[in-house]
Amino acid sequence: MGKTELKNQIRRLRFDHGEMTQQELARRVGVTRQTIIAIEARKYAPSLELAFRIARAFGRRVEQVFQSDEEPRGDDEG
Amino acid sequence: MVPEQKRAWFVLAVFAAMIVAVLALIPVLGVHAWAGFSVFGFAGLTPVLFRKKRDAGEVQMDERDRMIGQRASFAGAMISYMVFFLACMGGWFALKAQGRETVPIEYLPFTVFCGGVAFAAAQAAATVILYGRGARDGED
Repeated sequence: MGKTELKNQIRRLRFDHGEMTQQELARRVGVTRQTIIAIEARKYAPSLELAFRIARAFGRRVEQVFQSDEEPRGDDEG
Repeated sequence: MVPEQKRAWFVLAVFAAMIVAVLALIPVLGVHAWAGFSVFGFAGLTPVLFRKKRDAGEVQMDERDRMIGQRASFAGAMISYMVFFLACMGGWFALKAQGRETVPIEYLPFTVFCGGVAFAAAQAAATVILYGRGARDGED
């Protein structure tokens, strides 16, 4: 099974939200700043719970903040 | 650098100091240079030296820290088991090759010590590596 990479828009969203610092985002979602840095750099894939907390901090849906690198297989098409 | 990283670096520094102490004592004390292994006792100061801050409501540990801690402990346990197994079997083979049929009693605590030190050192090394892979202090 291949490793799925999670892209994310956290950096852009932080700047869209008044240039929110990594420390401020970390405080809001209850993690350390190092974890935010690791997520932004795609070195750490957050748990589902943390992903939802981050999305909520920006007032977005989780799929607007995180996207998978894998292309959709198209099973639902047709 | 989070407290877990500081602790890990301290344990690695004590481990290195222990190796240096043993190697430095060999020309002076000969077989009694094993006394240098006692330097590793300083690793016991880790909880005192790196207490967690309890101010400002800042998060000290999160899910990533716990995951790294679990993986580092797993790595430590694996290496420890391997070292303990090698110390047991290697010692036996070495003594057998010398024509001795029994293991000296001093050898037994030494194997346990090797296993314990291997656990602490491997856990610390894995912690440093896993945090290093994750992220460096970046920009805001």
